[in-house]
Order: sequence, then structure tokens, then C-alpha cells
Amino acid sequence: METEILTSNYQPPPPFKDRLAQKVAAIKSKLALAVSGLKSPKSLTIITLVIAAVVVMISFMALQNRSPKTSERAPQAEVQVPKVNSTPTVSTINQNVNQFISKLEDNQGFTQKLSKPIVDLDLSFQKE
Amino acid sequence: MPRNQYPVSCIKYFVSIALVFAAVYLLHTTNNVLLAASPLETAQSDYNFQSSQFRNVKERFANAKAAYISFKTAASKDQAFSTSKEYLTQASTLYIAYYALVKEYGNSLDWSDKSDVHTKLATTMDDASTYFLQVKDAVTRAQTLEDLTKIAADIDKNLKDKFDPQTYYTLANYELASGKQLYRQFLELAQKLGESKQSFANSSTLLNWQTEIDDIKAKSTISINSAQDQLDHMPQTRVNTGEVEQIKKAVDGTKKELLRAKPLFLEAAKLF
Repeated sequence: METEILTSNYQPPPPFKDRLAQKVAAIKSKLALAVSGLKSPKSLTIITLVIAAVVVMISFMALQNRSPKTSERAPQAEVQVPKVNSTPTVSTINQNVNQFISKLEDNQGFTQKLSKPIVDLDLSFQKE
Repeated sequence: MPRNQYPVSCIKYFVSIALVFAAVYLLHTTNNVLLAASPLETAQSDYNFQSSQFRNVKERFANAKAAYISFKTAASKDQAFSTSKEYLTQASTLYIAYYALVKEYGNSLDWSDKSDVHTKLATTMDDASTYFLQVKDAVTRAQTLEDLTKIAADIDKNLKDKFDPQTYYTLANYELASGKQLYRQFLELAQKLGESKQSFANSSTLLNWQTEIDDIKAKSTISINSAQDQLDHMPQTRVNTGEVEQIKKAVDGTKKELLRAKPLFLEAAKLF
């Protein structure tokens, strides 16, 4: 009796092939929607693209400047450097003066900077 | 209206390249910062690390020592032996790190007029480190608590008779070297600033500035020479903290004279 009631409203599921096709179609439509959004980008996307390009350029320039192997640029740099060294700039002089003054005002002696390690070397194991 | 103005692959390409470059740049910068640590900074951080390690060992040693003094059993003696071994090994490592730090401080100073003194002081620090390396070997070979007690007594004697006076003598030399370095810096800056004669309002201002500088130079020369004289007459084998403080006091006198140049230098630097 109970079995009859349960099976009376039962409808067999669609075939597996159909269910798979339905799922694939759903995923396809979702992807198509996302891609169409990217194909006609908003201003935010364009800005991101520009920023990315700028970051690439800055990174590349920074790496170029930091590289020690500047064999072709070295002669050019050598030509320019002595000019700067022969007449110290105002900032260099100010920096040197400030460094000199801060060293003069540092009153910490070497006995404080390099205080000896405190090690108890009494291994007699006697009651103190 | 054309829809494929900005192809998806192009956006992805740019974003990926940007991320890769940003990562490479960050890595490069971080590496530079890490590699920029000077030998002195490395020695300082090593000493700090060894100090913290020693504090941990010291605590375990104190507990084992207390237990052995209270119970006097074979088990507590064995425990005292193993922790004492650990304690002396770590103490030796700490001393080695300390002498390396003292040596690096010396390397960071300007010894242009006393390079032979610098070499001699560096050698004494190396000798001290070598002694503690030998101590570590002796500790490893020790079989009983009595062996370790003897090693500890030997360390104590060597420190008191040899390494401590040598270290204090080294520190006294550092005090003087740093004072001389400042004196040379003063001369160099005074020359550079005095060279720009056109910066001063008129020749009398320059002359008055120069006479003040000359006075500072004369007085600081006397003061630094007096410090050198004190150090030359110091008994190298019996130097203690008091003697280092004496040299520091003499160098402080030089620094006080040189400090008079502060307003003069700042004034000239503004005009430069």
C-alpha cells in the first residue's frame, strides 16, 4: 500500500545525455556573458591597463638603473661623475655637516657600546 | 560599433607582465636591502643572537646547579655536568661573537695615521677568539664535572690576566681613533666651507669666521695630542674600565672644542 503511494507520483529523470547538455549550455552562457563584458571594457579596465603599463615601465627602468653590469653606460657615467665630485653640492655639504654634528653629540663611549658579556664562571658548586 | 577593440588576451597579457615585473622588482629591492647589511651590523646581530641563546642556557644551568647543590646525588651531578657543558660551550660562542663585534667596530673606524695599531688590535681580538675555540674543544672532550670546573677556572684566569686588559686597551684606542676621525672631519669641512669665499657677505666676515675656526683647530689639536699622550703611557697589560674612561674624557674635551664649530659650520653651509 505504502509502496503504491510513493511510486504513483514518480516521474523518471531525463536521460543523462540531456542533463549533461543542459549543464554545458548553462556554463557556456555564463562564460559568454563574462567574455562579452571584457570585450567591451569599462573605463576602469582601461585605467588598470594604463597603470599596469606604467608599472612595467618603472620596474624595467629601476632594474636597468640598479644593474651593476652597465658596461656600455659606464664611460658616460665616468665623464659626468668627476664634475659632481670636484664641486660638492649644497646637499652633500649639509649632509656632511649634519653627520659631523650628530657624531659630535653622541656621548656614548665604547665601554657602553661594547660592554663585556656577563658570564658567571664559578663552577665550584658550593652553597653561596 | 566594433566590440573587439580591446582583446581579452591583450589585457591578460599586460596584467600578467605587470605582476611579474612588480614581483621581480620587489624581490630585487628586498635582496638589495638584505645584502646591504654591513659586516658591523652582521656582527652586532650575531652577538645579540648569541646573547639571547646564552640567557636561555644560563637559566637551565642555574636550575641544574641549584638541584645538585641541594641533593648531591649522582643523577643531579650528571644533570649539572651536561648543563655545565652546554653553558660553557655557549659562553665560549658568546665570547667569540663579542670579540668579532669588537674587531668589526675597529674596522669601521678610520685608522689612516695608525694602521699598524689597527692591525695589532685586530690580531689580539683574533687571538682571543682562537682561545675560546680551543675552550670549546676542551669542553667537548671533558668527561666529568670536575674537568669542566677546571676549564671554567682557566677561562676566568685568562680573562682577568690577558683578554680583559687587552679588550680595554683596544676600546681605549677606539675612543682615541674616533676622536681623531672627528678632528679630521672638522679640518676637511672647515676647508671646504672656507673655500667658498664669495659666499660670505664681505671679507671681514670671512676673516672672523676663519679666526674662530683656527682657534678651534688649535685647541682641539692640543686636546687630541694630550689624549694620544695618555694612551701612549698606558700600561697595556693592566688596562681597566677606569683607564678607558680617562681616554674618553680626554676625547670628550676635543669633542667639546669641535662642537664650538657647530654654529659656524651651519652658518657657512647656509651660505654655500
